[in-house]
Amino acid sequence: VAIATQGTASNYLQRAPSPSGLADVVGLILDKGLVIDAYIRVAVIGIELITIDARIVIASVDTYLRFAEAVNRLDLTQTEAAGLAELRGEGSKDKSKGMIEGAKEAFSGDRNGKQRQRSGRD
Amino acid sequence: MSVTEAPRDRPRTSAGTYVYGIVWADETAAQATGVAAAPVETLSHGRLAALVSHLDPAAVRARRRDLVAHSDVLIDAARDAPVLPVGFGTVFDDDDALVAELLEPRHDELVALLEMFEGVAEVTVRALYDEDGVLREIAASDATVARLRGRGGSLDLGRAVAQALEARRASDREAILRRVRPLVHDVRVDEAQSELEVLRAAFLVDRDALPELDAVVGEIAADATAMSFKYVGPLPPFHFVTLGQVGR
Repeated sequence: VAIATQGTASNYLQRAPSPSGLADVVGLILDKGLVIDAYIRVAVIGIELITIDARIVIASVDTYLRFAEAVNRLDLTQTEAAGLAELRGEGSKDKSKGMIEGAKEAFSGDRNGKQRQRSGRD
Repeated sequence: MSVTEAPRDRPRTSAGTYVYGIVWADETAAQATGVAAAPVETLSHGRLAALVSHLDPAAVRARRRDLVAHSDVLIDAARDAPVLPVGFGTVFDDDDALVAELLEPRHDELVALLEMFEGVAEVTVRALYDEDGVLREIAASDATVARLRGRGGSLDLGRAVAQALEARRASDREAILRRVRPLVHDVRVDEAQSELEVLRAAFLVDRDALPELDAVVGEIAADATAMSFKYVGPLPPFHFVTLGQVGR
């Protein structure tokens, strides 16, 4: 899960001597470098899983739904306040139920909610 | 080539010569332990040496520690000398086969490659959006997203977000590359591995120019909003070395 680097002067980006995550290591050494005649390469057990795992489908319906949910859950101070005001005044039962849950998550359980949703991807 | 038996027919032996990479003959292995916890040795031929381990090929797995060991042996060796990295999991029958099939027939080509990568290094830059941060900015700035937002989880909203994100990603990626390009010899951009990945790229840079590049990448990170960065190097030229790119 990404940690925001807001880029303040105290947060100066350091060059790391070696890759930190396994995915980054794999990205360097698996299909890069000198690849000597294919038959010499050992059929390494486990490689297939890693490479397939790393591929994520972009612009799928799943992605759209996830973005929609994430954007709806955002706590944008102004729009959120307006949304809540609107909610108190009117709104159908089904709709308000969804929105209250969304708002609750945005205010309290945002981190957990996101990680739950992402598990299986990371 | 003709000295050895056909590799396809080789019997299942319990030993093999695992290759990490190629260095100049006078180099020694910087890291003691490699894949499958085997010691790292050098095997010289002419002006070249291969960084090798003697091991049972069946002991090589895509385990974290073996992948990291392969990478670490190469990164350590590349700290102050050129290294031609070989892909993970390359095992020759024995030392003789390594000489006969690679070091001897490709000697001059490998020498030319080592000369070519003398004094240069690969660095990688990966930029990733912070999901909350970038979606917040999109929700605040994109009219379509702002209009659709709050009307329940809809496909239209998601598509609008994805489109805004893609446009932003393309321009952020190009902005980063535009600032780095003048400082480097070559650029390879890898395919993004998630929709939040802005850039995954490798640069070939003079070692002498690293401080300058550090400063520019630091500025890019400081200027960026809702983004985190991974900046790694100096590395062996993983992205830039291929056999056959020199001479015949």
